[in-house]
Order: sequence, then C-alpha cells, then structure tokens
Amino acid sequence: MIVFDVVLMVTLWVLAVGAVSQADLFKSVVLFVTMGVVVAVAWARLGAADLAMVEVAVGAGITGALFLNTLGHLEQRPGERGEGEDTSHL
Amino acid sequence: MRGLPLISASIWVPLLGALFVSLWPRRYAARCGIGASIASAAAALLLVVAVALSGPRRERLGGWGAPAGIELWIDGFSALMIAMTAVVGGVVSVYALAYFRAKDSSGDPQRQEVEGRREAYFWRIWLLVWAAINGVFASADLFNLYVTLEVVGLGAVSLVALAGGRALPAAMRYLFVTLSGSLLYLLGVVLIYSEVGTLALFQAGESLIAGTLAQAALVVMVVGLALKTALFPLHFWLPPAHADAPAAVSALLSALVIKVTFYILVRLWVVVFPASVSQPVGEALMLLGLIAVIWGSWRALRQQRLKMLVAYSTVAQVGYLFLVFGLGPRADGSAGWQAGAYFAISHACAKGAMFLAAGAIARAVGHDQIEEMRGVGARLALPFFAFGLGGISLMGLPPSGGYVSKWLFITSAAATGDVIVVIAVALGGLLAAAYVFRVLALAFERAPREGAPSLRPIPATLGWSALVLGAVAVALGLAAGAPLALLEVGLPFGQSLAEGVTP
Amino acid sequence: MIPSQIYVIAGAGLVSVGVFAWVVRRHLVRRMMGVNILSTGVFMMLIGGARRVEGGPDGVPQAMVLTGIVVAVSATALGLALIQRIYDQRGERSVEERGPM
Repeated sequence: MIVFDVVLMVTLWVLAVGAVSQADLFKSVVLFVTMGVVVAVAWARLGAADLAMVEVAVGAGITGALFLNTLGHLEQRPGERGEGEDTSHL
Repeated sequence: MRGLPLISASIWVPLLGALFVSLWPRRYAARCGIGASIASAAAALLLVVAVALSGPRRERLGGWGAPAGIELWIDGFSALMIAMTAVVGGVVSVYALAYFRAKDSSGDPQRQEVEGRREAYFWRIWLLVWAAINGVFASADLFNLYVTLEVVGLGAVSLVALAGGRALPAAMRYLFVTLSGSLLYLLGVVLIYSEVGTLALFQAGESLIAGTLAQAALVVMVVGLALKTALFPLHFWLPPAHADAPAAVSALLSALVIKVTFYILVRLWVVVFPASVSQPVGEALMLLGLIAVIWGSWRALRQQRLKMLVAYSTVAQVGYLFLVFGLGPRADGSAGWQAGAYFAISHACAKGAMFLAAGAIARAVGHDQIEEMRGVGARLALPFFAFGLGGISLMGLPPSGGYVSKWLFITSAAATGDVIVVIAVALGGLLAAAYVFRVLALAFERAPREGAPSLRPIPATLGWSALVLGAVAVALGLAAGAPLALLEVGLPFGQSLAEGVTP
Repeated sequence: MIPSQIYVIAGAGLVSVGVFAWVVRRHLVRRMMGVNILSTGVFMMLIGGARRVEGGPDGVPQAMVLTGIVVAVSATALGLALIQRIYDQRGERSVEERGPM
C-alpha cells in the first residue's frame, strides 16, 4: 500500500502548489479546501482518527469559510462599509 | 506560602480579568481593566516575593505530571521577568487609562463609538497578552512555550492593529513574521521530540546529544526566535509595527514582547542544547548583535519621527541582548547571562518610559515630527524629562540600570579579551547619547518667534506614568543588589540547575 | 506498517511550498494561505516523524497537532480580518502588493 501513500502525498503537494499559484483566488480557495480534506485522509492513514475529524471540520471547513468570506468582502468596493482612513490614534 | 498556587494565579488573574472586561458592558471596560491590571500586578509580585524568600517553585496543573499534563516552573530568572512584566505592565495600564479615555470628550458620537471600541479591545487583548507572557515565563516544557508564545504574538498583532490607518499594513507584516517565527520554533521542537521523546525542558536537555539533528533543531529555532526578537538583519518589521501602534502598545511591545523570545532563547541555550552545538551559533549571534547595536543606533539618529527614532533604538538595544549568547557561555560563572538579564529589565523600563513619553508628546503636539518640536520642551517638561531619564539608561550613564548592565557586559567581555565588544558597547552608548540629545536639544531650543507650535492639553497622568518608569530605570542603577540576588535564586545559569533543583 | 518517512518528506515539501508562497507571492490572501500550508507541513512532519514509538501511535504529537490546528485557525481568522480592514481603509492596491522586505 506504499503506492497509495505516495499518490496521496503527491496529490497533496500538487494541490498545495496549485493553491498558491492559481491566478483566480476563488479557485485557489477551492484547491486549499480540497487540500484540507486530503490532509485529513493522511491523518487517518497515520492512525490519528481524531485529528482527521478536526482537520475536516476546522482545517478545511472553518478556514475555508473564512477565506471565502474574505473573498466576498474583497469583491465589494473599498470603503463601502469601513470607517475610512483613520489616523487619529496619536 | 509553599502550598499556595501562586504560579498559576499569576496566569489566571489576568486571564479572568480579560474575561471580565469582555463580559461587562463596554463603558465599564476601563474601570474593569485597571482593576484587573492592579490585581494581576499584585498576584505577580506576590509570586516574585515568594520565590525570593523561599526559592524556586513548581506546580502541576490539575495534578497531572510532566508527559501529558502541564507543569509550571519558576526560578530567579523567570521571577525577575515576571516582576518586569508586572512593573511595566502596571504603569502602562495606568497610562492607558488616560491615553484611551482622552478622546471621549470630542462630542462626535460616531468618533466616541470607535474610541470606545478601541479602548475595550485594548483592555481585553492586553490582559490576555499579560497572562500569556507570564505563561511563557512559567513554562517548563517546549510545547507549552510554543502555545503561550503564539498567544503573545497574535495578541501583539491585534494590539498594533488597534491604531488603524497605516498601522494596519505594519500589523499584517508583523502577523506573518510572528507566525513564521513560531512555526520555525515548532519545527525545532518537532526535531527535538523525535530525538529525545520528551517535551520537558530539563529532561530534553539531559538526553539531547550533540549531532546533526540537534544542530538543525537549534538553527531553525534560533532563526525563528531571532526573527521574532527582531535581530539584525531580521528587524525589518519592527520599526513600523512599534512606531505606528498606539503609544501604550508600543511601550508594551518594545519593553515586554521582544523579551519573551529572548527569554526562550536563553533557556534553550542554558538548559536544552549542549555547549558544543550552541557555541558557534552563539558567536554568530554575538556578531549580529554587534552590527545591530551600531546599525540600529545609526538609523535612529537619522529618523524624522520621534516614535520611529525610539523604535530604531529598540533594534539597537536588541543587539545588546544577543551579546550574551557569545559572552554567557564564555565568561566565568554566570556574569555574561546576568548582564543580559539585567539589560533586559532595565531596557524594559527605559524604553517603556521613552515610548510613553513620546506618546504624550505626540498627543500634545498633534504629530511626532521631530523637526517641528522646536521649543516645545519647556511647556512639556514632564514627558521630556521622562524621555531623558529613559535616555540616561540607554546611554549607560550612572546611576541607571543601563549603566549596571553595560558594566557587567564590559567586565565579562574584558575578562575574555573581547575588545571589539567593549568598543561596540561604548560606541553604542555614544550613539544613543547622540540621538537622545538631538531630540532634547531641539525641544529645549528657544521657540521660534512666530508660529510656535500650539499644544493641545494632555492629561497629567500621561507624563507622570512615563516619569515613573523612567525613575525605575534609573533606580535599577542605585539598587542593583536585590534584582541580582533574585537572579541567583535556583541558579538559573549555574551548573546546579540541571542537577540540583530539578528532580 | 506505513512508511512514515513518506509523510515526513511530504511535510517538508509542504513547508517549502508555504515558504515559497510567503516570500514570492504578493497578494495578502494568498500569503495567508501559504502560512496555512506551512503549518500543515510542520504538523505532518511532526506526526510522520513521531511514529517510531512501538505499540501504536504516540499520543503526545497528536495532542500537539490538535492544539496547533486551533492556533492556526485563530491566526488565520485574525489575518483575514486584518486584510479586510486594510482593504476597507487603504484600498485595493495595499492588499495586492508590497512584500515584507
């Protein structure tokens, strides 16, 4: 079953490279979340079932949601809901 | 006193304070925060007194032992660091009370909303950071250090971001730096664990043998922690982050947060890594420290903004801290390490005073361009005096904490024949004098006949709290006996650390 | 018996991808992603490297990674919140460019 591990890890690496080099940010996030799921499979292979569950829920789920939320925010025009430039802290 | 859980209290009290500040309505944030700060300082000082009187302490959280549970451990070195945090943290808290409050009177409700939120967040995050800093100083295992270090880092980033505006990109850069720094540290922990199978500091130190793996672990940890301590040439992130943060936060970052990573490095050096592994790296760090002293002081001299000047001065002073990794192992006994520890606490007070004073001055003048402060000194005597007191310690003039630690540096360097160190320490003091006097000379110049800058009134607390810290920095030169005696408790740098004190 | 060295090597590979993203990429969101990949790489080296202990998986590294994942997600949340505020206050350009150096 070494082949499976090797394939798994190569997939993981390709997904990681894709996530950071993809031009479209949305596709990047999709690749990143997929990577999280593959990492979870890797944890399961290494006998860490609890880690696998946490990885899917937190590493892929919550982190992915946070990234998507940010992308949504960056779609809006800047200043649409912010307070604008703020340098009054002196 | 033996049985009291004083160590965990020094962590729980600020943590509970942060919780209270978050739960109470926002308009009580400042009152609740200052109360929690006083309680935290008191808890910490109680712990320090107990250590000074009855020796090193250890505690097991929840009754669990070392491998799975969390063990806390305090000796003289960590007690001194906790005392430093309590003193600087307490004074900065009083300062923050006036600093964040002052905006409330502007009348604009939207403005007040923003300021109120900023104040509430300051207290929540600062108390959390305080708890985490004490956590670092009390940790007895490598992974615990990672977690508490990460909390300190994330909290510090959030505190910088509170300023808004141009501080935001600085905070973002700081976030990347602090994350990669602690990941490098964690990588080192992984390597050590795979070699010795334990995370406890002292057990790891006993069974770690010199070899490629130990060398690799040391290098990644040193790079990560030096990045977080802003050692030249990894200091690029520090000046904007420290200068653009709110003044109270700048003081906390320069005084306390960079000392946290320094502390961890010293522990790794003395306890974990064998001398044959760490010796060459220590020499390299000392060299970088010497360059940092000169480069940072030179850059400070050339700055246009007061807070930027103070921030570059921190880059220079970090250089002095790193001298100990060359001097400490070489010098007889623990003189080199003591110099470093004493330098850390006196720099904390001096730099805290200078940042607090710079914040008060900037608040009164309305900006922090040095050139345009011509002649404001007489009307802002209190903050400028505090700035000068801090400066005395940076220059190493007697009597001050800076003088004592530089004297310790020079004697331990002279004993081993490091002439370059002696010269660099002296030159760094001269450059410090140059940049401090440049500010003071301009400020106390006779004001220009027309167009003298008009000053806004500032709360007296701002000047006074800066002055208190400056006075402590000077007092550290007058009463060096007690801190140095505390530093001997449990012999943190002596042979008996690994043998006698720990089971 | 799974050859855990594969996982250590893969972890090192992820670390290098993360460092690459951190140093070369300019968009802040993508660099945040890089930091996440970096930390996943470290975790993988940790779990892969720790399995030498006889008698099943070692519990301590797993507990460490569990904590590490929580830390990483809090750091990501903080970083992304910062990116949003930078975008709001300073506009599009500041999110898309400017390196750390």
